[in-house]
Amino acid sequence: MIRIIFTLVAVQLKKFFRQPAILFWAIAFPVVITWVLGVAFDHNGKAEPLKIGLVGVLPDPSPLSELSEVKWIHVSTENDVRKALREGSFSVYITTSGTTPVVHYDPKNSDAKLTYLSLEKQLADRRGGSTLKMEPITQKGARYIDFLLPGMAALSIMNSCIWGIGWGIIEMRMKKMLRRIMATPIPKSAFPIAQFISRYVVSLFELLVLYGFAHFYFGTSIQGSIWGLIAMITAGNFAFGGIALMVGSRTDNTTVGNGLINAVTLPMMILSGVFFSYRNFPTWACGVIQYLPLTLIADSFRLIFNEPVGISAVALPVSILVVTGIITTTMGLRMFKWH
Amino acid sequence: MTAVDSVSITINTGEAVGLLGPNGAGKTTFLEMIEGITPATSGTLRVFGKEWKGHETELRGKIGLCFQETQFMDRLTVLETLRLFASFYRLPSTRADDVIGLVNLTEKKHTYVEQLSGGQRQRVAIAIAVLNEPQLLMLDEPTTGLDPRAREDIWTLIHSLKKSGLTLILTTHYMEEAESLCDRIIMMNRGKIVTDGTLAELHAKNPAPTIVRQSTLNDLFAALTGQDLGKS
Ligand SMILES: Nc1ncnc2c1ncn2[C@@H]1O[C@H](COP(=O)(O)OP(=O)(O)OP(=O)(O)O)[C@@H](O)[C@H]1O
Ligand SMILES: [Mg+2]
Repeated sequence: MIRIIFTLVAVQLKKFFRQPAILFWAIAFPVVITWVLGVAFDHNGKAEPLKIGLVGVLPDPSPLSELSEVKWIHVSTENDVRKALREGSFSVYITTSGTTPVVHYDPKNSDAKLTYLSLEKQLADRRGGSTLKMEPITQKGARYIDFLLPGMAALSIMNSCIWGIGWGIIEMRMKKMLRRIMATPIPKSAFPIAQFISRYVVSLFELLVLYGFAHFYFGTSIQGSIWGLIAMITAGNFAFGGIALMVGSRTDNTTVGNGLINAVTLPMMILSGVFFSYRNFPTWACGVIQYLPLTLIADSFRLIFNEPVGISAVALPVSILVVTGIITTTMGLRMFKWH
Repeated sequence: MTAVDSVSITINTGEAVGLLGPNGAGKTTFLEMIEGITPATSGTLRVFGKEWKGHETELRGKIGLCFQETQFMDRLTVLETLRLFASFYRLPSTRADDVIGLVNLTEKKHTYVEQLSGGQRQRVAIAIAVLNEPQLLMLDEPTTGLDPRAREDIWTLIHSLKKSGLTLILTTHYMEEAESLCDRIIMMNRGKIVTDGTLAELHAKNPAPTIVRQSTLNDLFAALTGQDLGKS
């Protein structure tokens, strides 16, 4: 019995260590991700200051102005507040009515709630009691759901393409289906084109279901240009279709395929501000993050969903995504292994 | 390593060639070279007088093939699978029904391919191979795993295709199959051709002819290589 277990363990270990690609994805990749999130984005060991929006000025004197661990972001107009909330520059803001500061946030947003609680705690520590007045944000376009839904829609495009196309191709290669198909007179381009189109259809359907749910449950509606939205969905699918083609272009190994897919999707899922705003990352990082495909889609969706903007408002991100799609598709096809 | 080493042969139109040899002899590799799947590191290869490069689509339309192992798409029925491949050859989808009849799978037409038995799946693979009425048909162990009845059905099918001038190359471990279907036998061992000739020529070469037909090729292989070809 012990010998059997010993041999089995030895076999498993051999299997593992004989595949360098697996070693990379299983060992090196998690280390890299941990480093990126834990070290690169560390605030020099200090606690991150609370980012709080401030409309107007604080009454003088106010316990709030004495807080040291708060970074005040000054905004003047209603519009600026909405923009900041949409982008996640802050999720809590303060207005003053008379001498009492009023804190606004969406209690459904866990990030905002945490900020509020820690603000309250700071005050209490100082004064032995908090005098904050709280008012929940219920205005459409500024709620957490208005932030979350567009992000989820963007995420669904990414996952649908990467898993559907990328994983689909890897599986077909693994089962030797690809080489069987390629042994027929099918034009090579027909295969990726069919993949793109079928994914596009699936993606439209997924988005419709998601939107339908949000519409009836949260009263979400689209404020901006519907053509802008369609252009964005199309460009997003194209860009991620190309990325998926690259992901699936060579390997026929499940573990490597899984690793590659995670390497592409995981960082974007964390960085691109789907669940929480990427504005929490250092400024230098934001400069990069805002051009990641998922961020481009999520930010544009947020804009179109919540503001009455025209198609021109998303022209730049759409163009970037189309170029990304062209480059990745070309490279993916160049590297493609049919057998 | 070299799977197929310095092989030089010509196969004529209408010929039926059987590739024989033990496991790992290089049969599959050789066949896949002809099929334009595995590129040869050196030398030239012409199919219908043309090299693969630059004539892919044209040649693919004229040949039919069946790999040693292929899985088909999940959640697709036999009929849907064949219609898919029919579309690749730009054939009418009724052609799918025809070939399903040819390989006796009409009853299983609406069954998912992954729910078929191994032998039935093999018949789907053969149905795909003959879908485009190929002029050159290449089958890698087409009847391995088939029951005797199904095997004879496939033989009958191939015989009827041969009447229309089909060129056939197949690999097999079954002597009867080679004898029933092939006019010419090529025996391979360690990537090299050890013998090549018509059945009659091979029988004449055999240093120790035996009465039982089925064992003669086996004996011949043993005599030529000092190795046993294995019993079917
Ligand atoms: N993908 C591969 N990588 C490396 N070597 C391979 C690969 N495929 C086949 N070979 C080697 O090439 C040689 C010939 O293999 P091949 O599949 O052509 O044999 P075969 O005659 O078809 O055998 P079988 O009767 O078992 O089907 C074998 O020694 C095999 O190990
Ligand atoms: Mg073989």
